[in-house]
Amino acid sequence: MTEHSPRPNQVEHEADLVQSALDRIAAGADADGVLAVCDAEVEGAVRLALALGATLPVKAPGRYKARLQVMLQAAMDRGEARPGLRRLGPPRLVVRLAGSALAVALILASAVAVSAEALPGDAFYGVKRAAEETRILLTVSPRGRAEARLSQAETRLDEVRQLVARGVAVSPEVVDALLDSHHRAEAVSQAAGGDVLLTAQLRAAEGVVALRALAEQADPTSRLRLMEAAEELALVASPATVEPVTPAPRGATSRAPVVSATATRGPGRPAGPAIQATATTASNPRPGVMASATASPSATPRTGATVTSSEPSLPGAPVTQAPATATPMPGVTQPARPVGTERAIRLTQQPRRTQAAPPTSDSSSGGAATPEATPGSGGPTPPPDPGAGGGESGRGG
Amino acid sequence: MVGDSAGQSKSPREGAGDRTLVERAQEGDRAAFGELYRRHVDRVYSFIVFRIRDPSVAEDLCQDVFFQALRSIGGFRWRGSVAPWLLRIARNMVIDHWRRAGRRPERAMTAMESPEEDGLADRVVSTADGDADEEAERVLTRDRIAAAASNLTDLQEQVLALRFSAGLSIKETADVMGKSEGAVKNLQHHALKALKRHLES
Repeated sequence: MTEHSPRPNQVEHEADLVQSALDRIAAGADADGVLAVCDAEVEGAVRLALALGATLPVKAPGRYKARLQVMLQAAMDRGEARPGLRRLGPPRLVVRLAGSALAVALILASAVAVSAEALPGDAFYGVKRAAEETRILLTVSPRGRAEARLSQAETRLDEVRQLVARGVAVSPEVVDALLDSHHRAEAVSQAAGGDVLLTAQLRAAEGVVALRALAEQADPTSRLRLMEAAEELALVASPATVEPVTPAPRGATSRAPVVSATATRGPGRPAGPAIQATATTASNPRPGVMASATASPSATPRTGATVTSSEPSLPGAPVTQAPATATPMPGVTQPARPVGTERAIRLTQQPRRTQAAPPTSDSSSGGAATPEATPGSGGPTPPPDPGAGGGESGRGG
Repeated sequence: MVGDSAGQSKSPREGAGDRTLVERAQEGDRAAFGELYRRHVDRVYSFIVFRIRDPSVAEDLCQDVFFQALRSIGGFRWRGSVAPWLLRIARNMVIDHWRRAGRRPERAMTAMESPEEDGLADRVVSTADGDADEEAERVLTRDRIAAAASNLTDLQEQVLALRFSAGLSIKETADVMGKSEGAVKNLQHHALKALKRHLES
């Protein structure tokens, strides 16, 4: 193999030069600088070595690596690596993996199906959440992801509703997850663009209304949690501004949350849309607050929100519309109200609002004027219709 | 870059980490062995795939290497790094494979006759971690190198595989091959010169 080589001593010398050049380059020396002082023979070898180092290392395929790691782990779990077991030729390996993958898939599929109705604390709740995340991960477009996150938030809100209805404490985890979904929806919708972002903000505003309504019915601990969540969510809803809850002014007839959902305009949108947030507590099949909001731009910032709730005939559902002096005490069981009893809590704008809003409460008319703003239970809020908004605006002016 | 990869297994921090991992694995710590595997699997796979040229066979052999390592880690004695031990197992696995397959280690086969040619697409797919085009180009370059390396002696090819595919240092390579560092440097130099000649021809 040394037929082309000169005297052995010189070859040895060259071999050392090649390696020391490689060492210097490895230590951070400039390759061209190092090679400038080498003769052609050494330089050629060093350059080839550098090329080999850049080209030859390959990574084992990721799935293969993960699979092998699992197999090694399994062998260790058995306390040994039996020689007979290690030679899993490709066919057997594939069959085994395919078999177990199928079994896992079947188990997962049924678990996911079972988990759909799971509530926090249920055995399959984790599966439900994992399945949600998987679906979202598989959604590529920002719009799709934003919608998926909003739908996820809707699911969390629904869980809160059911927990409150059952008189179960609402865990911080669920509330955090609800907020997290909204935050993510907002973040991803910023990439998706205008109407998606507005939808996310409107849905957050609806969430605020719903959370505040639910807080009224919840146990004290959960109430605090839900109120705090509503406040945090109000930040997401901004610039669809939701005013912070403040104690109702003297003489107020209700301790119901004061919601003044004013969608101020984002940059580039016409000024002054107002949100009429209408929250309705449905009677059947379970108590739920359907909140919807629609942006109706008008010349004067007008705020109005109507919370209409019809109590279901469920024990433990506190009455929210009560004189201030008869605020439902936590834990006090209210007599069941007949299904269909309608109460409207008129939420007028707060007098302290600095905006030059006319003090006239047209919340009732606001609510009535937007019948389309009461979609089906939990249904997606129709994005604000520019045409309708223009009409409103014209009427307002 | 060669030096980088060659130096990886020698970096004191990782070396020390490996030593701790080996000790813990010897005491039966499963996570420690898993971590050793994670750190070195690419190195071992790279070496085997360069020597065998067939990724699916390389996967089998790589699997054998780590099961063998798992069985024999109790008897492993630390001598500065763990990579040479793994690569020695890998080298023996490759030799065993050739023995079973009835193929001579000094494959006189040229790339033209070799069955690897049709495996290009597979390799592109299986290793496409990063940019597909770039990877495809690397695969082509690797194939050219592999074709040229087929003309080298087994020892020459082995030294290139250990140094540049597995990224071992001269010292580690000497450890695997049971030779002095000076002998490995000479071998490397001859291998590089011969490979260059074949690449240029």
